[in-house]
Amino acid sequence: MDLNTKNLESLLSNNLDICFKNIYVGLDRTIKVTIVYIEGLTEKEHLSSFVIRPLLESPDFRDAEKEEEIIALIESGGLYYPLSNKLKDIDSAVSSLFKGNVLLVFDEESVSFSFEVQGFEKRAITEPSSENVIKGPKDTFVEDLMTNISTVRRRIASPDLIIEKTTVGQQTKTTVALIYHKGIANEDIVDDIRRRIDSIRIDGVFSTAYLEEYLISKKYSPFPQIIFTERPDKFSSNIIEGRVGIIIDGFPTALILPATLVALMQAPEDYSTNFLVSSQIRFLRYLLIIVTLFLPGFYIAVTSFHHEMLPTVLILSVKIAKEGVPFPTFLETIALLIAFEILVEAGIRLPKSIGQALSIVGAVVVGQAAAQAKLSSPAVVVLISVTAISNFVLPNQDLSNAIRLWRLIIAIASSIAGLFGMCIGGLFLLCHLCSIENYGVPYLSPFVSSTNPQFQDTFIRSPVRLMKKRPIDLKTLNKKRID
Amino acid sequence: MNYKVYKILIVILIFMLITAGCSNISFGKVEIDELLILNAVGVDRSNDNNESAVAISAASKSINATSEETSNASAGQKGNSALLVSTGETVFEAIRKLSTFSEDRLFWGHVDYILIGEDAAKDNLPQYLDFFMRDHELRLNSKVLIVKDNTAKAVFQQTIEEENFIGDILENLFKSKGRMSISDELLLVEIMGMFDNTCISTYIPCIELINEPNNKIKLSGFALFKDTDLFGYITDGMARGFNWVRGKVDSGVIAVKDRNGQKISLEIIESKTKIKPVISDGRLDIKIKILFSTNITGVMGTKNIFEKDELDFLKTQQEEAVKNEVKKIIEFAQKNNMDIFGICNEVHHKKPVYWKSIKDNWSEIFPNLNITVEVDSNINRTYDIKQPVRSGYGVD
Repeated sequence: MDLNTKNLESLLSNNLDICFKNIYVGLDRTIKVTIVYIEGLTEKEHLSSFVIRPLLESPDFRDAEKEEEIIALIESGGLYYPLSNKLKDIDSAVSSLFKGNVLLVFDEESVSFSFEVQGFEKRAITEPSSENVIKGPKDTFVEDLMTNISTVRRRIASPDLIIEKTTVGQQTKTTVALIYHKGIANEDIVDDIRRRIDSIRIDGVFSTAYLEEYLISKKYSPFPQIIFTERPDKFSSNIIEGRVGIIIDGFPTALILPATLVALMQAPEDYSTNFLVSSQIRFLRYLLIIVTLFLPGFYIAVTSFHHEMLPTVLILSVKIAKEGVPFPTFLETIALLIAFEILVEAGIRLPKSIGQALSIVGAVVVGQAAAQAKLSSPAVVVLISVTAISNFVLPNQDLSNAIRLWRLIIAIASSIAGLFGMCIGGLFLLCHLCSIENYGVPYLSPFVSSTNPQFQDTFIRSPVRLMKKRPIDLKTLNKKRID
Repeated sequence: MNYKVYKILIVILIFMLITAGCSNISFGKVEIDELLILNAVGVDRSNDNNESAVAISAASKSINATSEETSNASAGQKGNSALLVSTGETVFEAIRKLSTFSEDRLFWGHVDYILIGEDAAKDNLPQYLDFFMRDHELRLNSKVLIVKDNTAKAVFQQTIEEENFIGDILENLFKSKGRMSISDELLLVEIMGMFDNTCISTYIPCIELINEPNNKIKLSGFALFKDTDLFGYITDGMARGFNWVRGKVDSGVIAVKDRNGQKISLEIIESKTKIKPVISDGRLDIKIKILFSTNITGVMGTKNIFEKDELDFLKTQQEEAVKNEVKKIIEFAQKNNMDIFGICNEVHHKKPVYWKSIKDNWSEIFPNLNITVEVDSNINRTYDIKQPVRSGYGVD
């Protein structure tokens, strides 16, 4: 199809928001130029003052006699607007139109110019909602891709920071930016990611998970294999560490990959407090991940299989607490675990004002009333609370969801076979974690690295001047970060 | 292998997991509220005509919950503990009979104390303890005690009347055992080890019932065994003398008189004992070396004693006192031919070749053994009071 007004109209005319407007320019106003734009996506003031006014008023244009002259004039910068493209086929013209650009169509020459005069509504940069820090930057990613890219660019002012654009989605044509540092990130990893993004053939990207599922290697795992973040500082620091980032147009969440368990356990706050303090917190976090995973299972195992393992005084008080409760311990524990999951799930959906009321009702009903009505023993209520609170310490929500799932599996395993079952459950989990590997980076690295494991940023957070090397498992081109 | 085989395997595996074990479904899963957790068990020879009958009494502690529902709990419960009593031909039979009237399943994994009545101790004790060693639920680190002049059942009943729990009382008594160092706690496995060793005579700490208003049970020395039967008791000074040789004196009081006849009390701070077998001219001699240090904790008088001569005198006095304690128990042991100190073990470990030649007739060698006791001590400090109150005014 030729690029002309007629064809464009036949493609687009039954759309409410697409405007066609003819103006006549040149000597004696004989040359017709059609302006095509989308209502709401265009900054009209820019359009009229920087595009239409010079076309009509500039003496050069007024003297032109033919379309070719006008086209030549525009190409040589006759219009003052800096962002323009010359398009010759109708497909690229249409896709450019839908980005919010304005088209100037010249029917005779079958040529169109597109001007980037987008002016749609976008959200201002706000404070982070899920990854709060006390010290440190308070900006977040927003829905607009270019804003996000500029935020990152401002943080890494290096010519080696590469931002590649591709589109994903047969129908939506969503822009996806692949961001990496040329001198640091491993080329094979970047190539692999680029190849995978290019091979995605889906209708559209309506959630980050659409992309995630194409980019991870272990599809049937609850564990997050991509780090999601809304913080540009965390994103940038990961790029500099040698990872690859992806920002999708329309999402305030950026993707960082490949992820490792250790990276998921790091909170941005860790790097802004004293290294001793944050090492202590880091260590506690690793301890609590074990507590939240195994505590319900351990309690079930000890109270219904291995009564000799508890100290005498403790077993007596647990026994008193259990007195009169009609359900077996494992049923009690699992029921309360599920009740807690329900509370969490219900809390997410509710508006904030009702959410608080729910948490009070939940706490009162599940805790106090259940214990008083002898539906569950107070010991179990305390235990589930400890488990739940430990879970909230994890800095990554996806990780904590995965842990919740495995906690239930381990609790069921230990209710079948006691500590024996708990060990089997734990072994299965370990096997599963060991089997995850993305882009050649083991999920459990550096704990599973055979040579030179780096523990500088794992259980502890070493002082910055001691973290001399980048993570070795990312196989970065430039291994040192401090010269 | 195709998926069908996998499915069948998984089903079989699940059934194996669920149906294995002694109890119905699941491997011996018992809910915690169905258990009666026993903390102390007593073994007596029954007073029935039947000679071999065994009486078992078991005590369980129960913490009173805030609610008043405990009144309908298991039999014989009063105050904060429950007592179960039964008799049978053997220990195990008596124990199983407890289940006939106990509401809950008895759980033996928390038995901390095994009390033995005097009658049972006189009647080949290891036969009563064998079950406690063999059974998988009971612990080898439970503590064994002999009840002096009484039955274990009587001790249980006494404590229940007082609304106390025997386990708590014993725990507290053992906590302060080192203050006087006249007793000790010994584990079941240690005691069985001693019975197993033919040259050692077994000793077991003992308790006795006393008639004091607030305290009914007292830790009092050791019960000594010849072979497998109870031989006698050592208490107070003898028991401490025994602990000196064992090297288990943590603290204690030594009362001596100074040159002016004032009574001085000295607190033992630390002690150390070495038993050294020496062979000279083919003859075995045993040297026991005791080192200890004391603090002066009290002067019953007004005369100043803090002079070098006086302190040296006190030092020799306390050494003499300890030496006497030790000599007494050694004499007693040699007279009755009971190697309660484990001297044979020392010889075995330090002179293994020589030991081989004498191990078969140790019982003939031990009574005539030349055992020398060496005591060395010092007085560390006087708690910053250099002169007793009114020391200047005393009548000379």
